[in-house]
Amino acid sequence: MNIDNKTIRKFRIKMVTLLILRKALAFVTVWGLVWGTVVIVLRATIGLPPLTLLTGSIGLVFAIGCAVVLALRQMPTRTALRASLDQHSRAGGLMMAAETVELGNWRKRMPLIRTPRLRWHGGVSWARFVGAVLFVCVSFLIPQRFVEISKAQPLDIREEVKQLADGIDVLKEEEIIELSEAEMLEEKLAQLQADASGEDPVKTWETLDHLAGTLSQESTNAAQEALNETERLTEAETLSEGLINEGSEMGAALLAESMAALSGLVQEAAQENALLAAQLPDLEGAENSFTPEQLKEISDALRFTKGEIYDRLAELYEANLIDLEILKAAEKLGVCDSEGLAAFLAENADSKAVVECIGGWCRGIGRGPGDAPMTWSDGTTEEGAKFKTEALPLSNIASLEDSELVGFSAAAPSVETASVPPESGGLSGATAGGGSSVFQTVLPRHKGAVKRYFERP
Amino acid sequence: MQDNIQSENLLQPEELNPAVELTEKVLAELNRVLLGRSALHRMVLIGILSQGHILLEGVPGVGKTALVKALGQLLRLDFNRVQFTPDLMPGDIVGTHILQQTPEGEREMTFQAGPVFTNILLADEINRASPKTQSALLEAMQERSVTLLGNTRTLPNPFFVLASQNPIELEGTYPLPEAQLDRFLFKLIVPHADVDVLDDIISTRRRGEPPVPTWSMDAEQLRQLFDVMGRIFLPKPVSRYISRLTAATHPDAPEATEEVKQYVTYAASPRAAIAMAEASRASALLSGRPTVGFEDVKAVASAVLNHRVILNYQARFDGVDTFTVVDTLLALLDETDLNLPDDLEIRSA
Repeated sequence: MNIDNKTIRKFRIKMVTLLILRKALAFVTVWGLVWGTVVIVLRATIGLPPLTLLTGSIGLVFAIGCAVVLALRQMPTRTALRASLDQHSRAGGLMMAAETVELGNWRKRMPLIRTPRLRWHGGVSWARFVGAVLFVCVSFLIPQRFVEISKAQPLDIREEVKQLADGIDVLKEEEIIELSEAEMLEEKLAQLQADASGEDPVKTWETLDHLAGTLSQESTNAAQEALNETERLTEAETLSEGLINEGSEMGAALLAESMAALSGLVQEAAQENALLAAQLPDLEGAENSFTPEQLKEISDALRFTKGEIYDRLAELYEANLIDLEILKAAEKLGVCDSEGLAAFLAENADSKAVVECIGGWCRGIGRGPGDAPMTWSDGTTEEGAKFKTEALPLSNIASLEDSELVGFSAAAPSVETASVPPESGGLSGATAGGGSSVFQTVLPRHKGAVKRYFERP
Repeated sequence: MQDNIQSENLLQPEELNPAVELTEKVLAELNRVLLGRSALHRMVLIGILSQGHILLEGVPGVGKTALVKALGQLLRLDFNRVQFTPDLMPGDIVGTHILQQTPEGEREMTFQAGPVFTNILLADEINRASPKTQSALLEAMQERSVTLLGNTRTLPNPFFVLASQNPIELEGTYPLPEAQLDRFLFKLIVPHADVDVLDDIISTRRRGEPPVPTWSMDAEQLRQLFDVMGRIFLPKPVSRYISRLTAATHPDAPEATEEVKQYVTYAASPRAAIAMAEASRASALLSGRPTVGFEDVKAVASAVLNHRVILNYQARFDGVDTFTVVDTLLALLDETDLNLPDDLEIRSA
């Protein structure tokens, strides 16, 4: 019995080893294919590094564990193994009987029980296993650039973002926009650069256009204010220069009025522009009477301020925030003939205020009539007006199917001399008899009813 | 009949050897009397030891009757031979009641036993008798008794029927129904003798008459043989193999082969499994072993199954017979039921 059990145990170990190996090879092969596929997919989509994906090797333990369990479940019973040993040893049932009965003297006559050879035709399984291992190796070793073919390429908007960032910086430096607004725009720009994707470039470009439009709008508004300011400063500067150069030639009244006008213009400009206020000399007590030195200082301050404004506009232009036309307009608005101003004032001061004269002079109006103020009189009367009387055309036949045959004639057809109805417009199709802009065709089957309607007493 | 319950103690060599010697003597004497039939003699002896009936199929003149005669002489058993003809009546087989006058002058119905009341009955050309007569014999085979006019008479013990069937001259014959064929333990094919055997027969036998057996077994020895038969151990894997083999003859069985699925109409019955187990025990006894091995089952499986597995017309068209189907089944069915994968193979060391 002991010898039998030993042989059976040996046979059983050989068989279970082979079954486990066979199952494990199949499971590992399947796991290898799955693992390799997952590795390639994750590297291609998420871009996980291969070292991280090595954690998938834990699945091998699970696969081998499953293989062991299934192999043990597939393992034949001890009785079947004993029967197999009996058969291959040609024991004639003695070994099988030894499981339940005592053989007695037959044990001496029983043939030698030898463990049969187990052969596994596993060539195909090994080939598949090697293929799976190679597949896993390739999935790990293949360069990242080859597996990133499906990854979306980022959208390169660095140049555009830099340009917008510079624009924001300029607007911030020039205090055109608030600091908080500038920060918000910078955050939005950074987010846009991070989210920019080649998969949806339109969205990115639209956002860039929106930001650029916002900056441009802010810049244009600021430039327009600067132009207005430049215009006022130029008027004041021209008047100041005129007073310096031609003040001695002016009459006392005109000089006083001009001084008052200059004082008003300077004060108004100083209220709007802090830089000008800082540059102006102390004019306390000299509202309507400036000394030549004061006029000179006022003129210098106005010119300096105008230059600063022009420099700001130039910076905006450098940052592509405003057009060249605005810069040229600022340059043009900054120039005015101060020498001719005195003569112009002398000629027109009687009929116009000094301020109006300066405005008209500096806006390019010379000695001509210039703009005339609009004058309003009484409304036009309708007395005597009347509508033209015109006869409307006669009614015509709507269509040939409603016509009636009168007869045949060899003579030339008579031509209706009445005016034809209009072919277009609200009265199109209307006839003199109808008098309506709506033309309703009466169908033949309704003609009888219409006829009876008009024939009723 | 011996008890089928397995003995806890295995038959020891000293108990088995006398029975084996007896069977060897019987076989040796049969081989001496009838030349060139050793395999057939072995199968017939297996059938006798299994107490089963045997259907012998072969052309006339191949020694069927001589075999039965020699067997009767060797076993020292009564022997009757009936030539079956179409006009043979059941009463001619089982016997009948005839009106006889007693010594006292009275008349009464007396039972006149038929030839079935013997130990060995040779039913020659059984397929020539009418189904009614066949049925009477087959009932006696199954019940081992005869009932006439309400009286049941037990047949002698042991009782064997060795029927012969002529495969040629089928005109005017009544083929045995499949259900009745099932009652025969074996269907054995008696082949033609080869040249050497024929030469031996005509050179050693005057007018072909076989010699008289020089040894015969007595009733006690036959009973001892049956006792030993009952103690031959049938291991569980072998009985399992017999069951699987019988089940696999069913076309819808999980282990049925492609030939079975394609050609078999009616499969083997449980009686076939019982017969195979008994015959395997006898085979083991003849091999001098106290236990049945897979080789014993394989040795008797074809003789047990070939007349119980009924093939369809497709098999006839394809030239496939039951021997082919059974041999394929034996070759493909794993005896040990290891259920190993196809790519695993066990080879003897």
